[in-house]
Amino acid sequence: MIHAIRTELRRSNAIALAVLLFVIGALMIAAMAQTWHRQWLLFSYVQASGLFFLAPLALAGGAMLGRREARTRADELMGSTGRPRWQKVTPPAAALAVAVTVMHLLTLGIGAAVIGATGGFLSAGGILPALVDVTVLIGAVWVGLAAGRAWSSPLLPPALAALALVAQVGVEFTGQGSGLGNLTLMLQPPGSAWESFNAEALLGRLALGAGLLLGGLLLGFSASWLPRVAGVAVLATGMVLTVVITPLGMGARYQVNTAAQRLVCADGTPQVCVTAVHAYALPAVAPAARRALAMLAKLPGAPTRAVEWRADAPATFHSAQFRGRTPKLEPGTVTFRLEPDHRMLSTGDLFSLESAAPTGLTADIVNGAGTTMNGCQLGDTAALGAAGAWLMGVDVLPLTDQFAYDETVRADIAATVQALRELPEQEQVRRVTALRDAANACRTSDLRSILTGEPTV
Amino acid sequence: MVRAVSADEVAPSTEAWQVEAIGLRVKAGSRLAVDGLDLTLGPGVHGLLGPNGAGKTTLMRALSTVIKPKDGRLRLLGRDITDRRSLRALRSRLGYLPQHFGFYPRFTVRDYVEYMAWLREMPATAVPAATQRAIDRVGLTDRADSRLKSLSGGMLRRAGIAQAIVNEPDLLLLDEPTAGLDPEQRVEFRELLRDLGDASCVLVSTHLVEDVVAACSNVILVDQGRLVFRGLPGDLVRLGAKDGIGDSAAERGYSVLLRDHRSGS
Repeated sequence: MIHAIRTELRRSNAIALAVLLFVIGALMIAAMAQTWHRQWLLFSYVQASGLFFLAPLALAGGAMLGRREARTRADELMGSTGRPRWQKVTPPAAALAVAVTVMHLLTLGIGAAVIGATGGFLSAGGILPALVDVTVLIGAVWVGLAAGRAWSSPLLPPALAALALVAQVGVEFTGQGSGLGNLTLMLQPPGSAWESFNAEALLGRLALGAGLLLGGLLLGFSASWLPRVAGVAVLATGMVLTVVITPLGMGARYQVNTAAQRLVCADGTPQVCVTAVHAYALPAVAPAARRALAMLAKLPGAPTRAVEWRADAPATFHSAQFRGRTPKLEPGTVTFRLEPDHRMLSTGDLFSLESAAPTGLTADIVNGAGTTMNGCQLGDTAALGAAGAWLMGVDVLPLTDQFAYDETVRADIAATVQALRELPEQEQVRRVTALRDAANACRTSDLRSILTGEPTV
Repeated sequence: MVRAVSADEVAPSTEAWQVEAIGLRVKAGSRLAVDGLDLTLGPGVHGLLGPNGAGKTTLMRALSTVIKPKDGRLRLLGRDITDRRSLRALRSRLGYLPQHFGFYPRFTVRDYVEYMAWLREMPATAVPAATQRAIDRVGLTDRADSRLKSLSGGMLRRAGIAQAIVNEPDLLLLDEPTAGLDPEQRVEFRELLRDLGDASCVLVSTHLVEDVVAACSNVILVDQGRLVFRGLPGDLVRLGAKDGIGDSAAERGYSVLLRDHRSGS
C-alpha cells in the first residue's frame, strides 16, 4: 500500500495540486502582508481566510483525480482486479491528503519563519487553526475525488470549484446575521494582534472539516449505496454543526490570547512594557515612552512607568467598547495604545524592522496629560491635545494618527496652549494637573475651561 | 506490504477446466452479445476468432469478471463467478488485457505494472522482481522507466501484456494483444504465448488467423454469440486447403467455417 501511495504521489496530480494551492495561498498571504506583518495570530487568520479560495480548488483537484479512471478508460482493467474499492481508492486519496497537508503546513512554517526572522511573537495558538483547516482541505479533496469517480464529465472540476465559491458568496450575503453565514470560509478579521480563534470558532470549523472528511471518505471509499447515503448525511451534519456551533457577531470568533498579551519590559528605568506581540518594537518604544514619562513628570503625582494598553475582550469594532464612565487606572502607570505598524506598508517593507515614529508615540502618550487610554470616553479633543502640547512644548501634538485633528481643532489647540503659556508657571502646572485629574475621573465635558479658566460655550 | 496468504490462494489448481461456461448469455448494452455459449477451456493457448460483433469482446469481459452474465453458468478456475466470497481470490489469479488498454499516462511502465501487481494482490516482496520479469518478457526492458504517454502504440500494447502477466495468472485473457505490434514483435509475442500456455490457460481474442495458427494449441470460432467451431489450428488449415477466400489456408478455412455456419442457420 505504501508503495502504491508513493507512486500516486509521484504520478498523480497530487503534487501539481499542492503547488497550485501553495502558490495561490502564498500570493493571497503576500497581498495581505499589511494585515499580518510581524503578527503570528493575524497570519493565522489570513491563512485561514485563504481557504475561501483554496477549498474550492482542492475540491476541483480531487475531482480531476477522481475522474482519471473513466477519462483514461482504465476502469475496465481496474474492475477486473480483486482489491476492494476502499483499497483501490486509498492510494490516490492518501496522496492527495499528504500533498495538501504538506502544502498547508509548509505555508504555515514559512509564515512562522518570516515572522520569527522579523522578531515577531510566535506561539502554539497560531498553529491550531491551520491544523483544523487541514481537515477542511483533506475533506474537500476527498469529496472532489468521490464526485469525480461518480461523474466523469470534464466540466465537473471547474463546476465544483465555481459552485463552492458561489455558495460561499451566497451564504455570505444571504446569511448575514444568521448562522448560514458561518458556512463561508472567509472570516471577519480580529480587532487586535493579540486575538486568536476561540474554541467555539475552531470547533465550528472542525465540524465542517470533519463533515467533509468523513463524508468524502464514505462517498469515495464505499462500494454500496448505504454508506454513500450515510456520507451525504455526514456531510450535511457537518455543515449544520458548523452553523450551530460557530459564534455569531463581530469579534465573536476570537478570544484574547494571554500569551500574546503578556507584558515584556525594557531594561532600565523608568519601566516601559509592551505586549508580547509588540515586543519587537520595544527598542524604539522604550526611549519614546521614557521621554513621555519625563514630560509627564512636570506634573505632581506623575506616573513612573508606561505600559501598553491591553484589551480585556476581543474587539467588536464598536467605538465605545473599551471606553465608558469608569476609569481603569493602575496607580503610577500611564497606559498607551501601541500600533507600531500603523503606517502604509507594502510588501517591500516586510522585512523592515522600523516601527512607528518615536515622536508620534511620545505625543500619543502625553496627549491629555497621559489620560487618553484610561478607559474613559474621550472628551474635549482640543483640551486634551492642548495639555499634551503644553507638556511637549509644541503648539500642536504630532500624533501618530496624522488625521486626528482638523484645521479648527488645530487652531483651538494652538490658541489654548498659547493662552496657557501666558499664565504664571505654577498656574500652568496647576491647570494641566487639574485637567489630568478630571480626565482620569472620566469627565468629558468642559475640559478646556480648566485650562483657560473660562467656561466654554 | 506484507500480508497473510490464504490457503485458498496457495492451493494447487485441481479444477478440471479453467473456464467452464454452460448456456452462457451476456448482454452488451441492450443486445445479447453472447447467446447460450457452452465452452470449456483447460491449460494451453486458445485462439478466439470471429467477425466483428461476434461477441468476442463481451465474452472476454465476462470471463474477466468485469460484467456479470445475464444467464447461464460460468465457472472460472473452479469457482462460480456469482459467488461474491470467492471473487476476490479468483481475480488475483486472473490476468487481463482489455481491447482498449486504459492506462494512466503519467505512470512509467514499471509504475503501472507494479501498481497492477498490487491491485492483483501479489505479495509486496514479490512485486519488484515479478515486475522486472514481466517487462523483460515483453521486451520493454530499456523503456521500463519511460512514461506510458511517451510510448508508441505497439509498446503500449506490450506494456499492457506485461501488466496482464505480472502475477503469472492461471487464467490469462488477452483481447487483441497483437494490435499495433510489428511483424518481429508479433513473432516474439507468439513465443511468449507458447511459453505462457505451458502452465496456464491463455485465451487470445484476435482477428489475425495467422497468429492463432502459429501460437495457439486450440481454435475457437464464435459468431453471433454462439460457438461455431472448436478444433486444432491444423483443422482450420485443412478446411481451407481447397475452398474459401483468403490469402492463407487458415484464413480460407476460417471463411469456410463462417460461410457454412451462416448458410446453415
